[in-house]
Amino acid sequence: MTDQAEVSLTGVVEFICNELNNILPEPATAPLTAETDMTEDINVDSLGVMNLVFALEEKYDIAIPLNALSDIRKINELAELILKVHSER
Amino acid sequence: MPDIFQKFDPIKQLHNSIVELAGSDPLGVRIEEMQSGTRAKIRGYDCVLMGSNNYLGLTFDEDAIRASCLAVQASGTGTTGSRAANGSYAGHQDLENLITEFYDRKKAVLFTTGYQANVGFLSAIAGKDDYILIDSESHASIYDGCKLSAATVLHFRHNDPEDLAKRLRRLPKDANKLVVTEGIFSMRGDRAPLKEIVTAAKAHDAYVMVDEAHSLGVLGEKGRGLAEEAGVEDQVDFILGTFSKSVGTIGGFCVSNHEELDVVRLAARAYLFTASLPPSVVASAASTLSRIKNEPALRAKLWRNTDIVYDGLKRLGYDIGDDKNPVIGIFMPSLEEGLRAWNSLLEKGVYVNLALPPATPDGVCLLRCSVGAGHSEAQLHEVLNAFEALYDEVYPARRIAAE
Repeated sequence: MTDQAEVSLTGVVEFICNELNNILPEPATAPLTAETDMTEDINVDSLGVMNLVFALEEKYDIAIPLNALSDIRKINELAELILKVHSER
Repeated sequence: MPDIFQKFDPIKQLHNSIVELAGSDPLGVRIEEMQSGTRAKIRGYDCVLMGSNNYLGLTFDEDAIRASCLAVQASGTGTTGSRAANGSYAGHQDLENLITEFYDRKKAVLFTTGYQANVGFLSAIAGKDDYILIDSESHASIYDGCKLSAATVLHFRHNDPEDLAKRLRRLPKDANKLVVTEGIFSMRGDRAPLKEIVTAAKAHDAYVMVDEAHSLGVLGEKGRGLAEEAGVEDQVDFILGTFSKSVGTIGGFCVSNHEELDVVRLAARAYLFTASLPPSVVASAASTLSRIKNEPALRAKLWRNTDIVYDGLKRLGYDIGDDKNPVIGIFMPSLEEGLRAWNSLLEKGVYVNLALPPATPDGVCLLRCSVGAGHSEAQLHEVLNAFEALYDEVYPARRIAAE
């Protein structure tokens, strides 16, 4: 659980990258960054997305609507969604 | 010209590597000849079918076959129309009445498949300002129905009523909320903790829907499923079900005590824009549903058989879940061992389902067995003998450790 004041875009991006490194069955060929496309570059499957969402929900004490994820491809887009959901708590 | 199929390259590569590892395509199994509800010829092997969801063994039920033949002769091979147009025959409405009687509820709506029942019902019932909360291991049809709905969709941790309660607490008090879970989950073969889930849902004025696809005819004294077994039927608002398992044919339904359920017929696109069930299917479903209702001995046989297989696999040392049900998911140590084991079982005359990630929980490879009332004891011992012979292939490290 994290307070609103502690949440920053870079912090969320870093958390997502760390989580994805744990989730991916094989290490990504290039280091993950805010610009990494989760579908195209590292091919995260639906199960990986589910685990990532649970980790983010736990970390930031939020509920992420699954339908908000459908347009998201890049790590920074996901981080922005987290900030938005967090600010609306 | 760009290649429209290029996006499938990763999935094709994965499939190719599976075929290479297995030496054949486990996703392209051809049943050469059905010899009975429990036996078939596959790739030249005479196999006991241990992965067919045929829980009550009714696919060759004589009365159902007779009713089906009479219906096809009387009413033709198909309805060629949707329920909202020319596809509502007396048989469809009679079957809906039979479903309401079976569940002792007021209203039922028939769909053409179980998949369409979930997709049609969920996408119609939850609107823009509503919330759907689904178990994270829900069937694809539940996820797809949610995707098509305008509601905000949230998931809760698998079979975790506390996590559900935590999520419900965050939602606006006045909003419509629908909690969705399943009677028996089709991969692990575990039941939902329905009593606790219902308690959490009702504390927040949420509706509850249970998909009883794998539990209809299997759980409860009357075979109505988990809601009956858990004693919470009066608090479960919507039951979704399918005819493609215990009922032995194809089709889906939603049944409820809600007076307004019929309005779903005007709003569910999966109901409106697809042809209705063919008369032969309606007739066989009506026949077997009556048998399920009137013959609890079938269910008793199913559970005796489940004891044999579940206890047998446990005794042999296989990694299976703690919740004993006719669906038994055997966790394989790796994809390679899973593929090898699946192939080896086929050669030994046992067909099981091979379940691969991402369709499986925790990204594991599962050998999925489904026990049926139609299996003879001799067949089940044949199956357990095959598993016994397979054990060292699946867990070589355990044998070495034992030595």
